[in-house]
Amino acid sequence: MTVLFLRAVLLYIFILIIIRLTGKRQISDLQPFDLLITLTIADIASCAIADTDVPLLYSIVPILALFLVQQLIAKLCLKSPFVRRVFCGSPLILVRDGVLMERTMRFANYTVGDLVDCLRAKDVFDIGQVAFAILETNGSVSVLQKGAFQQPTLSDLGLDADESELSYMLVTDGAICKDAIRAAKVSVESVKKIVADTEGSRLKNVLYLQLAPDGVVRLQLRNGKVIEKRRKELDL
Amino acid sequence: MFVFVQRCATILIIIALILLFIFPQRFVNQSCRDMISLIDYALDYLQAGDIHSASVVCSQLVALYRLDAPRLKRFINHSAINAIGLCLEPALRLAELEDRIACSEKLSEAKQAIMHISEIERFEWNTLL
Repeated sequence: MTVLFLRAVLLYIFILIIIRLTGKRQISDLQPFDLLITLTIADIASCAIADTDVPLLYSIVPILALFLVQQLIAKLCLKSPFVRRVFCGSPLILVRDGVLMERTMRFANYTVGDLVDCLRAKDVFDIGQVAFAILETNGSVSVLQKGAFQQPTLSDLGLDADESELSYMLVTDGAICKDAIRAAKVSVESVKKIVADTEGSRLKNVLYLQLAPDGVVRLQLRNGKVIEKRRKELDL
Repeated sequence: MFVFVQRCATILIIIALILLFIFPQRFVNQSCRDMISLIDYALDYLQAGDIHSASVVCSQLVALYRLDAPRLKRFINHSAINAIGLCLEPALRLAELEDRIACSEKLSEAKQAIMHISEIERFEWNTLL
């Protein structure tokens, strides 16, 4: 078992080094050590699942070993910026003030085509509009457009904004959602009353009942009929 | 709450792994030692021409194998354990038939298979790499 454990740890380190060397293009939305555990656990588990000749411990011990190493690396990354840089790398600036950083792009294995793809995905179709494009440690590209091309916000326009609030699903699939009712500060009885008042419908016939932030109560029955009323009208 | 559960799980996993490092290895080593010593006895008897005593030892050996095999299969590849049985069972039959040479061969094969198993659990650079 010690051998199994150490083999798993050695392979983890080996694959981690390879993933780090391949560059950030290979990973997406995950840190390298997170990606690695996702890749390897599935493969290790499948050995014991498919082969009845192999004891379950042959899969369990390496998976536990990987879990421990991943926990250790995550903790070290939290504590030390140096360790974080070693395992996750550093963000790289690919575009600065509309100018492509060729050496950085070559280092990150990014072609102009790849970069333009990423920019288009961020709704930027002209490199000249980009103030900064940064390749993050998880492989995604963050884009900051030049001031003149940024979308104005309500505060830029001097407009008042409503307080951001959630909408609450009070009933879903014929069942009352108690957590949502508690969060929306309404009573179960009032929700049941709304349902009963809606053409004498029963709770189980309700597909959903939503309380929107603007005070609109939207109810859809299973027959597809949608009813909308103001919260004040319903005494909710 | 999740962090607490995660920490508890990590501690439990460490304890479980430490136990798995100690006890399976100890059991495998003990079982292999017992079987190898019985095989050596049987081989000595066969060499001395005492086929009856060799047969008695072989039957003890098969009984020990039948007892330990299911537990060994929890830690070691099943085919490696089955390989021992495939040598020991015929060895007992051959001892009963008083075929000294064939019985010795089967016992030697069983010994090799058992030594292979004890090597799997032994910490060495060869097994690690």
